[in-house]
Amino acid sequence: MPIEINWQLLMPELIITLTLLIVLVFDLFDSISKAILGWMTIVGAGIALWVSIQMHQAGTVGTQFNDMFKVDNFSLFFNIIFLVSTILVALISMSYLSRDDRKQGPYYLLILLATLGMMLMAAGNELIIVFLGLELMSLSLYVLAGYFRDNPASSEAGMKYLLLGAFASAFFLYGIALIYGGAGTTNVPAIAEAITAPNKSPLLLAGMFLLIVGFGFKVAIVPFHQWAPDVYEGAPTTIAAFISAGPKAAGFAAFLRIFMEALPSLQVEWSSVVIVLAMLTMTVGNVIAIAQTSIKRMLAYSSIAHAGYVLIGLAAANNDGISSAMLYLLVYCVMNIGAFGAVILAKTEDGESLMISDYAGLGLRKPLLAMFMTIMLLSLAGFPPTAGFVGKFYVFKSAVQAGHIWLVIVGAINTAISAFYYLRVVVTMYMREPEEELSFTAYPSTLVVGLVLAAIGVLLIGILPSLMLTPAQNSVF
Amino acid sequence: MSLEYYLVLSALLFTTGVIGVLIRRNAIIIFMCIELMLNAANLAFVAISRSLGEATGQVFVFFVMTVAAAEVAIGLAIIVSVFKHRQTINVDEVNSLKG
Repeated sequence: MPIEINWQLLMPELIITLTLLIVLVFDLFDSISKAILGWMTIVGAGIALWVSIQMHQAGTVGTQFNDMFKVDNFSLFFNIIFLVSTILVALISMSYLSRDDRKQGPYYLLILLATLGMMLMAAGNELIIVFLGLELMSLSLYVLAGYFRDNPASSEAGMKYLLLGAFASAFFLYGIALIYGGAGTTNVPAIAEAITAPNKSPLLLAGMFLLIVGFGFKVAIVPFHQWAPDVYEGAPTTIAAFISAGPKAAGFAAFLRIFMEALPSLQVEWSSVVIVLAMLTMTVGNVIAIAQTSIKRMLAYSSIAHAGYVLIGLAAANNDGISSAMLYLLVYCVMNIGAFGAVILAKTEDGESLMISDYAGLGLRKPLLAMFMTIMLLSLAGFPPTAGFVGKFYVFKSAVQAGHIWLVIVGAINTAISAFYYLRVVVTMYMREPEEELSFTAYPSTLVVGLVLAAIGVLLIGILPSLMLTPAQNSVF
Repeated sequence: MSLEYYLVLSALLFTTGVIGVLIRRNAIIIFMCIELMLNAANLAFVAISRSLGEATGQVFVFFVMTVAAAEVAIGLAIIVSVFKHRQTINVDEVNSLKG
């Protein structure tokens, strides 16, 4: 039986696949400058982004490969998030790699492979595809976390990420096996049809909880978050930015798709679990972040807390909840990569500035760097007129509409807590004098371009929220 | 034999794997325990597929085996690179990152 393939539907994925093959081949030639590989990544991801936006505006819907792969506005919106993250990460990576004379070929190849994995996760209409996408993404990220092999911290981060990530994948897989046993199928819409009957088999419930554990590890939800601070601290800073952005969005994409589309009839069971996890994640992430002295660890705990805010949207479990969670993920990816980019920008002659105290006095000495850092941190804290405020506002609004007042109260208290440690960095930059003069290196131009794009994105969405809110609202499956 | 026996065996294997990951300290042994968890899932897939009389689960197992092989290749490479730095793969001694 021949399979009809609609190539147009698969365009973004095909472009990324083609780009990674080109990067792979060009890496073999010693005669060309390796810096071009980064630009190829950006161009390829840029074309895929443009195609995804066009398809999103046209409202393309369709399934491929026997209903296994589903392209709709939901998956296309997530493609936009992933590709924006990939482009920003490639921009902040170029100078970071070349100044330490690192191998560039495998780096961009793995980033593109991880991006492809994320796109498969968002478009997976069958649990096999979601699992394969998850593994393609995770395996690439394990290598990337340990990419600086001569650096003990990076290797250690790679190993920790590998062991806990593989552990989580096994939970996820066992969850799929049990859902297959309970529903008799692994197709997402077919699962929903199979369990409309009032009999909720224990297999399904156990499978659902195992899936929550697996996703919990992947997107770093408390109590499955322990790997995140260690990995973010040890991994190359650009990779910490990447891991905190795209893969988290991909985890939530599959989380939303499976729980809202395949398991809506178990909503009574999972929504209470998600509410408790959201409260725990926000509170633990924010409270521990206060105690951190390393900026990368602080951003790690802050990214854990942000996963909690996204969970509020999932807990609301209505159309507004989904669209606000998607908007929040987009905003979060841009501002978090921006914050890590500002950390890379603060490079001194002796290495990276990784302690918060290193940032003392930068407000006057390095005004551009301090400005980027301030914009990103204010956005992470959720101050208007930044995108972070818009994201939080719509997430909280959807939860109020769904009647989860307590969840919103906990979220609001947490926003106040988080403002403390974000603003502490800003205060350190503008109002403290440094203990010793640090000699900062010159700004690399690609990094500044990446940060300018991130800052424009954060302010634009902050001032004109409908720019991204309307597409997000059109993307609910 | 009914499906329950296979599912109970697979649950036992999975639990053994989880306990192994939690109490063993050698990275390679932890990795083997993770493989045990994956294979427990494979057993469940095959048994359920057989009792339902359809092939999805068995196809799934092929994919999982491929993924597991890739995971082992990458995992061992990373563990070797850690060993080169520290001459140990005891996860309690590889702990420079904490706070």
